[in-house]
This record gives sequence, C-alpha cells and structure tokens, in this order.
Amino acid sequence: MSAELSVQTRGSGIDAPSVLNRIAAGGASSAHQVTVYQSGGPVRLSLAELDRRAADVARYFLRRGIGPGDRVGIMARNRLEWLLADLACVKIKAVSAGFEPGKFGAPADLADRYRLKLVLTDRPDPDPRVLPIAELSALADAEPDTPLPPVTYRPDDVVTIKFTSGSTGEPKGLGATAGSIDDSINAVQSEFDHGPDDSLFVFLPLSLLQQRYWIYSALAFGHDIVVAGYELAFHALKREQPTVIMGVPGFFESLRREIGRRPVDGVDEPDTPVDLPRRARQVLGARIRYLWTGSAPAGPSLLEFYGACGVPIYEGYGLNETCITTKNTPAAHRVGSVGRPLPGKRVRIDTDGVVVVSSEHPVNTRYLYSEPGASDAVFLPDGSVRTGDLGHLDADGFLYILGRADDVVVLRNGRNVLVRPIEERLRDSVAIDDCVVLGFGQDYLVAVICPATTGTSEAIEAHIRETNRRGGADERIGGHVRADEPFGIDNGLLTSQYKPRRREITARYHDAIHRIYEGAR
Amino acid sequence: MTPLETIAARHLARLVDPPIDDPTTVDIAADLVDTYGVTSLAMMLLITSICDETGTDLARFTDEELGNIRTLQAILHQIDPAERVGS
Repeated sequence: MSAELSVQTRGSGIDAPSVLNRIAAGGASSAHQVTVYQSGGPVRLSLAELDRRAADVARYFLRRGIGPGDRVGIMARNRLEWLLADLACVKIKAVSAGFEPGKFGAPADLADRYRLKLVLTDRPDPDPRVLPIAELSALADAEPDTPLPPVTYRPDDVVTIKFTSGSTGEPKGLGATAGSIDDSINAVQSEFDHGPDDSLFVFLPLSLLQQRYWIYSALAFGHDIVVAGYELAFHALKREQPTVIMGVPGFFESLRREIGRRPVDGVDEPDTPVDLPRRARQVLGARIRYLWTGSAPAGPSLLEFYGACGVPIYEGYGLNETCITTKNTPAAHRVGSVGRPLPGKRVRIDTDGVVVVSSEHPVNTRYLYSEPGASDAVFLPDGSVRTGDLGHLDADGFLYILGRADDVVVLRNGRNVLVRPIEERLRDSVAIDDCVVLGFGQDYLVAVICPATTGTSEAIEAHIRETNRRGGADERIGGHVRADEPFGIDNGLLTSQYKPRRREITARYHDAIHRIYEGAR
Repeated sequence: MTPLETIAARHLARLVDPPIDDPTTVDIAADLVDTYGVTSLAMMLLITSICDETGTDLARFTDEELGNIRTLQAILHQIDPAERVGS
C-alpha cells in the first residue's frame, strides 16, 4: 500500500534548449578553460580546444567502427582523456559506460559482459578491445579533420550507463536518458546561475554521472572548470581559486579541520580568537562563492561551521535513479533540509514514510542490469522512483531526509527505531570518528564505533551514557564494539559516496556484536 | 629525527583529532590508518601538506604510488628516496 500523503511540485517543466544537442553540435567558449590535475602535472586548455579534441576522439571512434548506440566503457581515474572520451561519445551518440576504478574486474571481462566495443582504462590488459586511456589523445591527434555526421538527441535516448558495484551479486547498470540529463543541468543552472566569472571544482570520480554534468554545464553556459583526481584534490584546491567546490561531507570535514588550524599570515597565534571567515578564504580560495554537498548527510555542526565562516554550503538530495531532486539554493535555503524540489521534479512521501520522486523526464524506468526484482523494487509503474529513504516535507516544501528505510531497526519489542539521529549524536563526541547503530530483532541497540585517535574507552562510554540519557527508552545503546580500523572505501565499509555499508559492517563485527547480546542473557 | 621527519611528524600531529601535543612522539614507521586513524581523505591532505612544505611537486607521483602509501616513512621515501628513518 502506498497512498500519497503529501505532494510538492515546483515549476511546470524545463523549457531550456538541450545541453546535449549543443555539445553534440560543437563550438564552445574560447574565453573559458578546463584544468585537469592528473599524474604528471596539470593540463590546462580552453573549452573550445577541449571541444575540438573531443571531436578528434569522436573521429577516431568512428574509424574504429564505433557508432550510434555502441557502448564505450571507461574505467580510469580522473584525467583529461576521460573527458575527451565521454564528450566524443556524446558527439556521435555512442553510449559511454562509466566504471569506478578498483571496483570492477578485468576490462576484457567487462567488454564481454556488457557488450562494450571499446574499454578505455588505466589498467593493463592485452585484449584488443582494451586501450590505455593515456594513449587516446595521441591516437586522436592523427585523425584527419573531417566533419562529424550530425546527431540529435531525443529525450528518451540513453546517453550513458552508470554501473554501481555491489558487494555481492550483479552490479546495477542504469541508463541515463538525454531528457533527464538536460533537465538536471538546466534546472541547476536556473537556480545557481553559474556564469562567466565562475570556476567549478570537481574531484569525485567522473564515473559518477553528476560530476560529468558539471563539464557539460561549462560547455553549455561558459564557465571555467577544474577537475582533479581524488588523490590530487587538496593539491589542486590550493593552486586554484574556484568559486564553487563540488564535494561530499567527508571532504568538507577535512577542510574544516584545515581551516580550524591554519595560522593567519603564516604565524601561529594560539591565543587569538579564530578569524574563521579569513581562514576559510585562505584554505578555500579568495573567490569562493559557495560549497555544494550531497551524497551523504552533512551533520548540523558542519553546516554551522561553514555558516560561521561566511561560506554558504548547500545540501541537496538525489540518487542515480532520480538525478538531483532537491537542493538548497541561494534563493531558498533551510539548514537541516536538503532543499526544495528542483524544476521538473515532484516529491511525495508514501504511507511508509519513504520519499518517492517523479520526474518530467525520468532517468529511466528500469535497470539495464541488476539482480532479479531490483527494478520492480525501485521503479514504480507510474514512472516514479521509490528511493528507500525516509523523509518528510515541511509546510514550505523543504525536504528532510530522516535516514534510509533500512536505517530503521526493528527491536524485538516490535518498535521501529530510526538509528541515524542516534549515530549523529554519537558522532558529536571528539572521542568518536564514526559509528553505526545496529540491533535488528534484539532487545536493545549496539553501536560499532570507530574511535578518534585519542578516543579513550572512558570517553566513549561517557558519551554513550549521555546519548542514552537524551534518547528514548528504545533508543538506548546497550553495548558497543570498538572497530579495529576506520570505516573506509578501501576496506569496503563505506560506499564510494562515503555512506556506511551497514550489511558489511554488521558482517565484519558479527562475532563481537553477538558476544554482547549473548553476555546479557 | 631528520629534518624531513620532523616536518612530517608535525603535520601529522596537527592533522589528527585531537592533535598530538608532542610531535617527537610520532612513530614514523607506524601505519597511519591503524595507529593514527587517518582516513583516506585525511591521508591525501597530509601528503599534500608535507609536499607543499618541502617544495615537492605532488603531481610527479603516480596514482599507484599515492594509493599505496600507509606510513609517514613511505611519504618521505617518495619525496626523497635517500631518506632513512633515524639517519
């Protein structure tokens, strides 16, 4: 049962021209530039030059027999050729397929499994369908300068496929339609008005659809863009003066610590009150206009910190299956919410409390690849997406995310406990770096805690007692497990977007958790 | 400690939360994740800071070299292969 409890609509649609058709047609600003920080040093070129070199790559693809509808896999760290390959696909209506490096198997196996005519990668592979991505520029430079056949995108055309690896089973493959991409980019532009004086900073993997949309935005609307590999993000940030930083809470948390300890004018003045706005601009750059965050919830203290720095941080919400759905914006910002629905999006909360998103142009209506039943669980018959996130809408249409539906722990007494607020309270302690709260089918909750460097057992236990004092009876944490290493992407305990993998964390600490419950019996 | 080790230890001492009062107590050979709880993002911030102070161009490292770093000793070895702990 899923009766509609509340509906919010904003705008009646997007009338702006297709960004993708504009990119396919070619021609970009020579006054603006893209800078890519990659191994070997930064590469800087005008957007017009980026467009020209992407056209060269498109000609190379055509000569290799890659045409409209053919798939080109890209599995590599961020680098210039990633952009060129992706844009070349747009220019000839080939379908790019992004794979996050380190999360998938051998490139040749991907080619077999997903019918890829070419795989560009930074991993060695002798298969003739696999090409070292670093060689792409040189190969394309040799192409004769012949006109590309014109292409036109219709809203339902699939432009790119996003693959999401899972710990088990079939990775999900989601085709993103041209209409959804155009709508998303145009809606964001209508709210944020990125213009000729802007420089957007991007460092998350380009296999994430949204990161490439910023490149499309630069080409369509004429602004600078800086792309860094993950490893070079801080290095690049110190050398550029972006006006906007696209990040995730974990990144902004690291910058927060950097701001907090940065000496003014190189002189440590420990007794002087921190001049946060000044220090923030030393770290973030003097031109910073705002910070964009998403993918994971930003805690209240992080939002408050940047507020005190005088640098707006706009939290938003969306999944691969929905594109950006809601966003706090300069014109409509409510701290703690993830903003109001963007134009072309409609949000409702079903009777289970789950956020359901409808789009004027849906990303898709099912997965191209997934476990059996996965599409039916997410894509509803009316074309909307059941997100699996619990939320509520306030009277002014701002959406608040309360946690994942699977963040709900059902205790033995049948009470549903939303554990994410409890986890946020736990993380408020300087003794605790990260945590998850578990306890399905048990009498009480248990926390798995990553201690801070000097987080003593006494400090952790004291904070748990304080958290219990502030919570309800069913929110009591009856025991905790001290994690033996931080939750990380590398050890499989965080997703690539820094969300805890609850199932994996539970499995990792199953025995220790079990001992707590057994000891109480 | 060598001058490079002193720089590295000072940056680590300031990075961790709460900070380490005496940087000379930092174990250069210790695993940064296991011993000091350094996250993957904080690791990149640490490497960047040390490279900046030592005038080292971070871009000269390969992605693999950066991805495999687990200790301050490894960072210093990337900066100066001749660097030896305690020398």
